[in-house]
Amino acid sequence: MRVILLDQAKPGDQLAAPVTNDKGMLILPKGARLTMGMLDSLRRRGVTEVTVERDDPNAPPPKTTEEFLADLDARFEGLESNAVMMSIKSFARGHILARDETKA
Amino acid sequence: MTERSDMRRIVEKITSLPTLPGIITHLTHLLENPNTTAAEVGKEIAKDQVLSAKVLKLVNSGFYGFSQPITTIPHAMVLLGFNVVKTLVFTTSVLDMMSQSIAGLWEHSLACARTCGIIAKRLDLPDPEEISVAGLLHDLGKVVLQQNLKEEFEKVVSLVRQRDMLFYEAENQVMGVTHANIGGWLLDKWQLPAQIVEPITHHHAFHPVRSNADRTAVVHLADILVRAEGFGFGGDRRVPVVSPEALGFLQLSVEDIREIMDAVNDQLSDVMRM
Repeated sequence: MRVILLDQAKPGDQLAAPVTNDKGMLILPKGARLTMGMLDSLRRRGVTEVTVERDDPNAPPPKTTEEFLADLDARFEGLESNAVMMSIKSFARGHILARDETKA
Repeated sequence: MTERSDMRRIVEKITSLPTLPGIITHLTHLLENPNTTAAEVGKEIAKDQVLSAKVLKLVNSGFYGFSQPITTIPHAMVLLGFNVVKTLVFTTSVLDMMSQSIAGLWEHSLACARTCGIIAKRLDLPDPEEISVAGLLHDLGKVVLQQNLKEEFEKVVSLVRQRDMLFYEAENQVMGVTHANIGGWLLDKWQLPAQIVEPITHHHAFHPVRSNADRTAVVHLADILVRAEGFGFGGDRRVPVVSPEALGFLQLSVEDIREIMDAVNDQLSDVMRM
């Protein structure tokens, strides 16, 4: 799921979130597949961004739990002697592991 | 290195920022009249449809955590207060550029705003929405730097990469000032309220005797907790050390921090993790 500029959206992209106007009224629902006509219509209505399901071919693959944990270690490198920072790290670590369990 | 006062002059003279809408001048006049009501101000903002659409998009971006969409400017004025709406009116053009400046900065800012709201409500601080908006804008100076001081920005980014430094430490080394100063100067120049500007200016340098110390401590802590969790990306890899004075000022224990982080983790989507 990515938020992209409307100019970057292409026919065939699927909306991952509804498009609403400034009054909160629904213009296009989540799941709609964009057509050239829809893109023109959104542009006319002043919409500048849409959230699409499109995967970016250049985007890296989703991170694994091990990668999230390694990033966490890197973020806190050098702070080992700070008890409060180590507590904060352990709480964040707990959240990463809990997400892993939910996925499994 | 450019002198601090020179740097401030440069920031204040920035002309390449999208110009402030003409409505601002009109609004400022309206506000000088003590008899002007919030409803009148709301109506005035609502006359500019592009601007009000942008502001409504921001208030509905989830930064402060209401579940119901806000569909009109007067409604936003009632729920969020005039200071928040005024600040968003002034900053919407810079916020527009945020997602293009540093990948992940928008997500980091949004997460920081939500975390500020969670902490402020837990501590029963007045005007939690104003503290949320300070959280949303705390890194605004990085956008200004990237857009208007490109040479300095590149030097900072390369120093951060080469030496694995914190962004604000690299800024201090390159320019003698940080994005916190730069953002604060700009907001100050726009005459936004001190209770929103000061927490932004001092979020990397908490001091208990400064005015708005409680709000500054909240933004300081929220920034660190969001980095710890890995929501978004603020331009560097490391987590700054939390100020013991800030924690003491807010009277927060480690157990309180755990509960705050649990609440943040429950409220923010995994999509924002980077």
